[in-house]
Amino acid sequence: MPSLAQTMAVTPRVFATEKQNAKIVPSQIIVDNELGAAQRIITIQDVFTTAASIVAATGVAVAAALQTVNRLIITVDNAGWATIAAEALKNLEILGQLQVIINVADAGTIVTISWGFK
Amino acid sequence: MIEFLPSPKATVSPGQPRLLQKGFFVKFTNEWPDTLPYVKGKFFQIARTNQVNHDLSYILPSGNYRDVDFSNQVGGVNLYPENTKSLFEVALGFKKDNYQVQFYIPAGEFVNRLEQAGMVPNVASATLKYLGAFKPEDSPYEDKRILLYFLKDLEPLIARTFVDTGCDFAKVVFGLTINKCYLEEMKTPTADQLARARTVLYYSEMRW
Repeated sequence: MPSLAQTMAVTPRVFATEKQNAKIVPSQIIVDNELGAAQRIITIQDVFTTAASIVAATGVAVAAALQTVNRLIITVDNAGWATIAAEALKNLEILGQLQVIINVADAGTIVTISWGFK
Repeated sequence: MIEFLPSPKATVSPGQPRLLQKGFFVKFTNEWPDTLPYVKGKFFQIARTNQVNHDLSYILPSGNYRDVDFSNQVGGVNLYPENTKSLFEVALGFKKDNYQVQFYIPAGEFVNRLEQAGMVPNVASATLKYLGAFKPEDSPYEDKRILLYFLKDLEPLIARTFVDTGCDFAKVVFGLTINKCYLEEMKTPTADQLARARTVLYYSEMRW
């Protein structure tokens, strides 16, 4: 299973691009804010492009569109940690690209994510 | 031309192959149209096979549907043969998510419907949207239970793929194993060969 650690010196940070025939299922998320300059808010995002479709109720055609969905938001105190393990993440599924944003870019905040595919 | 294999009630040993194999017999009924003269009412032995795996995926919003056309026409996903001696047996399975599939052949004509007037699949109806629908658990990606049979110039088979309410988006993944079968006609099959043959029905035989 892949795993990647990145500082949040820039935002967003891409952890995994879309695997077209599978969903990405994070198995562990660690946010290390020991060296962060302040309390930080981390958001796990799912970025994908929908296929063209039709609204069943109205018959209106809908074009393909880029979507960004927030799947998880974590607030981590200054000098603190947050660890979310597999049990708590078992229903978190990423349809497209797995990326992380932070409310303020901070090189002292480190995010580590492990994931598998489903 | 569409077959659904429910979970077996009992297992047999040795196991029976699910897909057609070299040496197997196939017969096409007389209901096949005159536009497909190379199979109508004919009997074949499979001379060779080749299995080709393929996946299709679409991310769709809740409450929306997409018609996936399996044929080679413009906008189709090109899974039909181009050779009149080819039969493509396609095993179709789905990865799990909040969606369902209803089949049409040709476009606008439901494969699965009941006999009472109006009892036809309709994704726009709260009461009929589940009628005739296959859900991912009916044919899992790892244990494909839907078999489709494609021939050159067969009318387009459409899979209306609908994402149900209760989520924001769903990722639809079709897992396909295309079992390419090369047919050799047998003019005078024996009674035993006829009895052992797999009969491929024309879609009109599944609607009465």
